[in-house]
Amino acid sequence: MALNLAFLNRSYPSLETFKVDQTKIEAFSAAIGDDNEYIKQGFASPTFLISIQMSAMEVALFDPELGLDYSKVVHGEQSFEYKKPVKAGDELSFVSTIEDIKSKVGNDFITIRSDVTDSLGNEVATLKATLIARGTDK
Amino acid sequence: MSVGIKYSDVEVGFELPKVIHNYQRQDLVNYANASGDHNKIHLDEKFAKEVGLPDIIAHGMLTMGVASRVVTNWVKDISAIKSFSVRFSAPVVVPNDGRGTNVEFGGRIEEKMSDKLVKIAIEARCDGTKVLGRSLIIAQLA
Repeated sequence: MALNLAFLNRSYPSLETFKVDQTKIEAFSAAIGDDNEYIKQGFASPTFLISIQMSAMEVALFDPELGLDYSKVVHGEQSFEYKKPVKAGDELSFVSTIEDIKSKVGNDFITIRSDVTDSLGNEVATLKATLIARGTDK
Repeated sequence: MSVGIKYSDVEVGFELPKVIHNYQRQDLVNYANASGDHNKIHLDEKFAKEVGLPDIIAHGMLTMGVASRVVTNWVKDISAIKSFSVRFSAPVVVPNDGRGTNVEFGGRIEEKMSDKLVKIAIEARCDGTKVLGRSLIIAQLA
């Protein structure tokens, strides 16, 4: 099933800020086995922001008009660009934009870019996720 | 924070210490809770098989998270990490056999760039199969 191209370039600002706290930082680092000293100092592991990007993207991904069969979704690519480390006490805002939609050999690809800023408007990071909905011709 | 690794001390081809990570079913539950990704292909064996997978597969982002440790364990300094990109090329299948699945992670300095930046190619192999495609971390050394 092809995705709805009308969703291309749509942006979804996060409706509320995401408060980073030490508990979330430690739960995430424990789950990936990161026991570096910076965790105790209140800094998050490099891929921590994915936990926010996931929920920030859901508004778009779960919109039935998009036509994405979430049960067939696997993660294709992911990237992070960091301007500054994420730390406990940060209040982060996300703007997620559907940057690309395409179909290739029966699979649907969607790329979502999330621009992350702190409460002062400083850039924190940019994330890109490419999700693949595997086609039925497997 | 101080960075222990000096740009002038490393050359192209330098291999970072490997990280070997054992994935158990419970690790996927923990990662789902910590990350908010509760996709059933990572948690529900019956569901995973119904959608055509061989068994439960690990979150790609768990693999990316573990892969980051190759560099963070080495530089120690979180502010050294400037970018990180991966392609997921094969799933890490996690059977319910009590032994789990081992993945071996490595990193190699591919390029010394300006501003004391280094480009590190990241590898992850499970039973010889690459589970990450082209994967790079750019880090700024001291």
